[in-house]
Amino acid sequence: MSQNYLKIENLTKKFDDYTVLDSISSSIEKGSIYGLIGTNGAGKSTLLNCISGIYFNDNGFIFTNGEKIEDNVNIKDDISYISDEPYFFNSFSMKDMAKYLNKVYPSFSMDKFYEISNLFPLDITKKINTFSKGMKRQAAIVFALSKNPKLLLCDESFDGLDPVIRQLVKRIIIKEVTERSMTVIVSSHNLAELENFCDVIGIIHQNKIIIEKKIDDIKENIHKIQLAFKPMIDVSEIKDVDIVKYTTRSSVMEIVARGKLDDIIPKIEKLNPILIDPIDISLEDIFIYEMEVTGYDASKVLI
Amino acid sequence: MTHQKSLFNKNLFFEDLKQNKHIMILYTIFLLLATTLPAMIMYNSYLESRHFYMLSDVAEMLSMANPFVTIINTAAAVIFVILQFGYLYKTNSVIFYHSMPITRKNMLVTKFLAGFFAMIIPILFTFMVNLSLNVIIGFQFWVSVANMFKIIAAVLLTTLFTYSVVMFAQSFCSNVFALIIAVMFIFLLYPVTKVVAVGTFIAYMPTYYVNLTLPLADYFYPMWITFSKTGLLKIFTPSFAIYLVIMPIILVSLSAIIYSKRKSENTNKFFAFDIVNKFLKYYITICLGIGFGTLIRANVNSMNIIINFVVHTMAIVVIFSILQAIFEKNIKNMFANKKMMLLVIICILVFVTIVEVDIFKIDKMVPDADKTNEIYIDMPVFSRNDYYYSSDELKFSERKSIEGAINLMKTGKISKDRYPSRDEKVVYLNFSTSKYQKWGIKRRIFVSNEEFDKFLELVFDTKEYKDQLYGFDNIYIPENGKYGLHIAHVKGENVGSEYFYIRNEKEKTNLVINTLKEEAYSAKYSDIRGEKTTYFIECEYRKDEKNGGYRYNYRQIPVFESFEKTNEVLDMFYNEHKENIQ
Repeated sequence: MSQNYLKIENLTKKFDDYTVLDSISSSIEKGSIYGLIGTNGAGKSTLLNCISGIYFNDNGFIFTNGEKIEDNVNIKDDISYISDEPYFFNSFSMKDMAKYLNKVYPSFSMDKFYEISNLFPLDITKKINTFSKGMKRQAAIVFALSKNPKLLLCDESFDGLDPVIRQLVKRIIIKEVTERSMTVIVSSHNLAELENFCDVIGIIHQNKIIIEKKIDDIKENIHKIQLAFKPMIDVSEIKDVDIVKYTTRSSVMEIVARGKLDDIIPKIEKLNPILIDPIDISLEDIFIYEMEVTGYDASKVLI
Repeated sequence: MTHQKSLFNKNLFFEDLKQNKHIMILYTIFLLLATTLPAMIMYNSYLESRHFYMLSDVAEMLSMANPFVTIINTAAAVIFVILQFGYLYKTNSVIFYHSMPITRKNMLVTKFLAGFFAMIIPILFTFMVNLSLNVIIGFQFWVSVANMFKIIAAVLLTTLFTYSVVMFAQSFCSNVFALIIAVMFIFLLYPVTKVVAVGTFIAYMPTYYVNLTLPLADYFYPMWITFSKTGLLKIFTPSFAIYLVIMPIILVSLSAIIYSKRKSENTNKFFAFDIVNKFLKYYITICLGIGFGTLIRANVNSMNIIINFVVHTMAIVVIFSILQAIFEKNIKNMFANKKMMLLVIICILVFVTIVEVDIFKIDKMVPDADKTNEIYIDMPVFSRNDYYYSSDELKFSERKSIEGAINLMKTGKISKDRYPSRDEKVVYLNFSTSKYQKWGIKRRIFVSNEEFDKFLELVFDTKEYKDQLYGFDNIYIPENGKYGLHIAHVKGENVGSEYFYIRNEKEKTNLVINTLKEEAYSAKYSDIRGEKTTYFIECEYRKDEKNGGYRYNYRQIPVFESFEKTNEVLDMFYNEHKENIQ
């Protein structure tokens, strides 16, 4: 049975009179990778700042392993937060910075720092303020992982990384998740970026998490199927299949349907199609359909 | 692992200290430049000129009690607070520090201590260098080693005080400008508030005199005691040292509480707390608005109340909108809070109306004799033939004296002018009761010469008056002073036509004082009525003590014709004086 590592209960956060997060509740399993999707200003960074204990909640609670996070030093030592604009001391090299963090964070490991930094094309003796934006982000990832965190929070951390490094980072994170059951929350405004990386996707919109789904579950329950009939039939003739969306072009029809594929196919075969071909459906498509079902205009929520 | 309740993180402390090392070196150089270097240059000059007094200056310079050190330490306090807490000015650095596994209170205390140690190490290093020079060259005659330690203790504690005040201000500021405004506010709160309050009161209630001195200044600005060795050694008492230790503890505790409530997201605001923003905005607007309006009113003769309203309104609009733009960090928001601005204007105009019209009749207030136990009057201590002796504050607590004094207040003329003209044949007196005296508030009333003489007649026979006029309590007779008593001989109607002194002669001084006391205490007003004054005894006496120093008041004491023994003694000394001249 899976164990919840992080639990958020009715979390509300206001900036003056403006509510950024409105009664958000969620549970994140230990060893899972949670993708937090939302447009700019949706509240992703605020949520991560609350989880890391940097922002105080106006209402609600956040627990990790049953303990409240707020200014709790033990929990904070278990969390690594890579902000979208990492901070380093002026004139410090990565090595200097690592030594500093080693003093301040009990969980920081210099061995791990050397091990991970070796994987990146970074000169750890060079001053960080001479690094490019992407290199600084890589440095932040190295420091964050050197703390052996139980919870890794990445705020749009893949932005600015080239595809090779991005894959490298994803591989390292997946390795940590596999080996140490590290829990990860990655925020992004781009759903495609998190494709094939996250276990769970949560979409944050208008101060609330509007959808939160396990990818395996939704991929198992929604399918895109290409059909061909001669002569072409009307879609209403496909009975007992929950069709979310369909398109027809001459004798070819494409449907997006909910349910198990093994249940759907026999029902369509009864209509004697000349072609039944399940085709790949992107994560983005899945969420667009999901959101349309829940009444949201996907074009305003997803990029 | 740092404990949840721990208030100190050793690793963060040493890392912070390490990061400040360059500034510490620079600070040490500045301190050496302000103390050791000029002392050595002066000592070198002494070796050439052999002017003995220069050694005293060298020793004082080495003792670190000089204004340059105070200025450097004050500037260093601000700089080290910015270095230690400057991370609060940027979002990414706030995230970096606030995600550390250290509680907010722990972080504040640790960073406070790291900054303070970064300050005291250069001070102590400079002190050790200077102490060594003092001992090696031999300046102990001018500043003893014990006094050097006392001075360094005062320097360290006053530096700690200044640093704590700046850090307290920093706990609710989000940028350097906010910090400067907050520090200025804390330091100027007392003098500006008092000056505005007293200035406004005096401007609208011209019959009142209010003391504008700042008796608490030493407590608000203790760093000034390190300006000179002499001042410091007088003021730096054990109780003052305790104050300088307790205040930083209070300020750090308050800062820790404020910091633990500080929202990280408020980094982009001018002040991290809205309540501070509002308080400062309204307080500064009200204080400066009234102050500016009053200043204009006080300098313009017979200003129309409507013009007074316009001046106040303009002052408030300008001050409020400027503060609004600064605090909101947006010049377009200058007039964003029009409703509150209007409310402030209305409140101040109501206040101006109340004081301008004197609704509560404060300017005509006279105390109730039955409820008054003591009355203080700044008055000529005596008058004779239209000559009014030097004024001093006399206290009256006997019932008939109080009633007489209150009668003077009732019959006297309330004048809007500060001083009477000579033709008015009046004497101006400042009245105060014990209730108002501690606030330095006095009532100025012009009393006719006749009424004043009647009052003197009333009080002359009381022991209380005699004690004050002829008691010679606290008389100042310096051991090596120029004179003990200064005596003016009166020839005919010419007051003070010829002066002589009794210098450094204790016996003669006591003879004059004792003879005069004996005769004066037994004299009745009826005895001296119509009599001429033959001599004035002029002397100074200690009024009160402040910071180890005394305030001296000048006093003229009359000798009348009927004081035969006294006249004999004074004639004898007068004749001696004339012989000496010849």
